[in-house]
Parts: sequence; structure tokens; C-alpha cells
Amino acid sequence: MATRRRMLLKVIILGDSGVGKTSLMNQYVNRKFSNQYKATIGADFLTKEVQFEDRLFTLQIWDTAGQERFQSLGVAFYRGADCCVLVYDVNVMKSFENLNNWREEFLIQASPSDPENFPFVVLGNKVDVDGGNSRVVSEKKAKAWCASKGNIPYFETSAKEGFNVDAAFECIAKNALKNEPEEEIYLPDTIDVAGGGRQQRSTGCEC
Amino acid sequence: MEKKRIDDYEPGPVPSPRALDRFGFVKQEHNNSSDAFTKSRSASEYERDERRVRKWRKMIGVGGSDWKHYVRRKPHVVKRRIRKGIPDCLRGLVWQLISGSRDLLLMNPGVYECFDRWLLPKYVPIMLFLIHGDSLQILSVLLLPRYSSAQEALFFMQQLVIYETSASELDIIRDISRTFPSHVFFQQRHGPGQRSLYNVLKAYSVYDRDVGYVQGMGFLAGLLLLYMSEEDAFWLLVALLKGAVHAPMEGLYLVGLPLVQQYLFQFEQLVREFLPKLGEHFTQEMINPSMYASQWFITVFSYSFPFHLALRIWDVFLSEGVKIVFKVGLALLKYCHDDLVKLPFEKLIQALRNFPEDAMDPDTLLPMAYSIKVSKRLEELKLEYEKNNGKLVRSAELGRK
Repeated sequence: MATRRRMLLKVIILGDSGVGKTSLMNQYVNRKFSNQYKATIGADFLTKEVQFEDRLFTLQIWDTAGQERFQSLGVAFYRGADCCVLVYDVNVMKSFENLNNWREEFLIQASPSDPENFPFVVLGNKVDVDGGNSRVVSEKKAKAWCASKGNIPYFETSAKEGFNVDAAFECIAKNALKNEPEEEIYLPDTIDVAGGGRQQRSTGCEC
Repeated sequence: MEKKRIDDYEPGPVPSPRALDRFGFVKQEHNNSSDAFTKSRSASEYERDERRVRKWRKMIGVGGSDWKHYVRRKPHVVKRRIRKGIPDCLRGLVWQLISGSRDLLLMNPGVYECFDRWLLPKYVPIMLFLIHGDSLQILSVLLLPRYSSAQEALFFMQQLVIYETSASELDIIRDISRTFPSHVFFQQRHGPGQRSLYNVLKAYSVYDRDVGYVQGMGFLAGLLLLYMSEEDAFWLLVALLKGAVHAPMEGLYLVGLPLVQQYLFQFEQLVREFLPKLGEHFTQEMINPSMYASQWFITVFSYSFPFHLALRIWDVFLSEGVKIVFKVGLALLKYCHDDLVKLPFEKLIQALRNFPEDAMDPDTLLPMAYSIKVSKRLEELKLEYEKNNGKLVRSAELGRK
């Protein structure tokens, strides 16, 4: 019989300053949005219990400061991450262009054992702003970039309105779970957590 | 001299439908903590406060005229009184006196205005003798011979300054509304508080391009602006970052955040030495001080601690330097020690980011902090850190070149 011990999944959120990392985390964990978040200094941290097919997991979410200079503090947070969430603001081109830097920086600092297949999820946030009229990064463009980086799952979200946030984090959790090394998973062999083949991770939950 | 903007007792010009605490923060519904310590003042306490203010006024003299004399004569009295807390109505002035910023201001009349307006200060050559290590000033000396007139050189540099600061500017603007968002002075979009904050941060980023603007500096500037004018706040920032009285703070914000790294190393070691059981528990749970203490250093406790506590820490910080940050940090851990050693990783992280109210009462926490002696160990640990990292830092620098 599998142990009932809860498993820990570590997720790190990266992206330029002001794209909504703290808001996304709080919307997902506390179902709250505030216009009064302070700029994150260093890093913030929240946890959420999630259940997949009868099993409980603790999702440990690290929210980081977006300013480039804080990356030197990142090592402690990057290490041991099971999934990395890259966030940009669909209304700010630069935040999209920087996704590549964030991805590479993460791979360098976290040095995962299999960088080619390390699970990332990309979120294009703030789709609610100005009814979408101030948008500068098209969904097509974002998806093309994600495809070019090994089919990274992509979600368009609004932390303010709670749009697509749950779906995105569900995907994040699933991908984090798939990244866990086999021996650490107390998995009864009757349950197929991924709901499909392990090879399909990057397309498994793309909506 | 005092230009305190939020009056405690008069209804200010900005009517707010929400209740504010005595520092001007919007009250949280279930959290009246900062008032709990001040609300029910008895007549005797009120009188005691009055007596304190009178003593302080005597010590300072008109506009600070007697201060230096008093400090020379009775340094221990000054130290003791500051540790008890500077009276709020005199805080702005005393902060400027103890930080050395008042001297900088007096020696550099009109300079802030120039930085503030992006004009190159005509006083740059004067400043050159006052503060070292500023690239802009060095540049002015390097450039002058290449131009036919000083004006031409200045014009060139003016363009350079405008061009080069644009990156910082966007960062500053993005963070303006995210700095003390629950304070009435900073709440109004494009209101006087936000404008002042922007001006001070922009001026600093022009003045010191190596630092520019780094998240966290806004909380320093914001705190200062609640007690003094823009110009005074600017010079206090300069005094702190360039080290007018104590060790310069600029390393907290320079590329690589070298001083944050050093302080975190020192703090981790101190925890192990002063609170060995907790230190061991942290190691086992893989808790690293960067997970909870970096904002303590980067914003000197102004980011997420109750404001009345932050002010008391700042009183001592400006007069005694950064070691109070270590002491307060250790005192917090010591106070909560018996709870913390029992907690697993996640609860531990949460506890280290949300200390209980009783732990954050300045009159309990600060005496505890004062009793912890760290100066000698801090110095030794600094040398140890430099020895361990000296090579690393130098090779990284070479690599970059």
C-alpha cells in the first residue's frame, strides 16, 4: 500500500517586475486580488494543498522579485524546483522578449539534471487590461515561442479577474509532479497521475 | 525645519473615508496593532512624553544648533535617549543630524534641485571633494578638457544623464504605487506623496548611476518622506548609501547585491552561534536566511514590519549603524525560538515572515536586541567572508571584463 505521506512540489515563478507574479500566486492560493501589493523584495512564499486523483500534494510556490539585480539572490530558491513558471504581461513587449533570459537564467542557476525536458509553463497575464485593446503580444506569437522551446504549455490569464488561473496552476502542478524522480514518489501503481503517457508532458494540459 | 506632512491630530487636507492609524496608514480591519501601543495614554504618560520632548529640544537646540556640542559632551546620554526612541515630532530633524545628511545638505546648496530637474549641477566640482566614488563626478573631470567650454561639456553630460537614466525611470514609475500602498500620503495616484517619491528616487538614480534604482530603495525614501522634505530625504539617502557616518550601504543595491550576500552570511553564522539549536534546525529544514532576512537588510525593516517598530529601529540604525539590524533579527528569532524549533519547513517560512504581535512590541524586542553583543563577531565574520569570497568576486569581475 502506498504511504499517505504528502508530497511536496516546488514551483518557482519568474518574470519581469510588475507582470503580476505576486497577484497570480495570491489569486490562486487565496482567491484574492488587490491593487495594493507591494513590490516584492527578495522572495515571497505561499503553499497550497492540491489533490490529484485521490492523492494530496503540497504545492510550494516561490514568488520572486522581478528586478534583474535580484537574480543573484535566486540560487536558494531555484534549486530543487519541480516546475518553473515564466510570466509576462501581454501589454508589455519587453516582458515577453525577456522570457528567454528568464528561462536561461533559471537553467543556469537551478542546473536541473535534464535541462532539455525540465518543465516550464508560460503565462501571458493581464489579458483583462483595457478590454484587450492595449495588448501588444499576440497569442499566436507567444505560442510560437513556446513551441520553439519544446512545446511549453501556454496560458493566457488575468490575475485580477481570476481568469484561467486555476487551469494554469493545475497544469503547473501536474508538470511539477511529472518532474519528481520516480523513487521519491510514493505511488500506488494503479494510479496514473499524468492521465497519459509521460512523454506527452508538454502537450498534456495545454488548453 | 520640520516638514512633517501627516499631522497626527488634525484632520488633514485630504479627507479619507477610511480610518487611519496615527502614522497615516489605513487601518486593517482585524489588525489594530499599531494603535494598541499608543491609544490609551494616561495623563502621566502624556506628561512623561512632554518632559521627554522638552529634554530633546534642549539637547538639539534651535534647528539643531546645539546638537554637535551635546553629542561631544555626553555621547552616552544621547545614545541612551535615542535607544528609548526619538520623539515623533522631532524625528525628522534628529534623523538628519545623526545621519550626517544635514551637513551634506548645507555643503551642497541647490544641488538637489539640479538633479531633480535633470540639470547637471553646477556644483559638481564642489561635490567632488565631498563624496568619492561617484562616476558622474569623475566623468565631469574626464570630459572637461575635451570641450571648448565648461558649458559645452555640461550640456553633453546633461544629454548623457537623461539618456542613461531612462531605464531606471521606468522601474521607478512601476514601483511608485507599490511602495507603502496603504499609506494615505502615497495612495493618491500622482498625488504629492507619489510625486515626491518619484522625484527623490529619480534624483538619486541620476546622482549615482552605479546604483541607479533598485527595488527596496523606495521603502527607504518613502519612510524618510513621511518625516522630511524631498531635498532632505535625498541627502539622507546619499548619507546612508555613501556612508557619511557609518559603513556605506550602496553594496546592498549594486550589481550582484554584494553586501546583501555578506550580511546574510554573517547573519547565518550568528544564528548558529547565538541560537545553536535553532541554527541546527534551520540547517535540517534547509532554511537559508535569503528566504526571510534579505528584506530586513535591503529595506532596514521598513518593508513589512509594523511602522511604529520600524521607526524605533531606524532611530538606532541611523545613530549606531547596521548592526542593529542583526541584533533585532537575532532578538526576533530568540523571542520565538521555542516555537520555531518545532516547525517544519513551510510553517517555519511562514512564521519567519509573520512574527506574532507580541514579538514586535518595540519595548520588549529592542531591549532584548540591545543586550545581544555582535560587533566583534560581525567584524571577524566579515573578514572570514572576504577571505572565502575574495577570490571568487575578483575572478567574476575579470570574467565580466
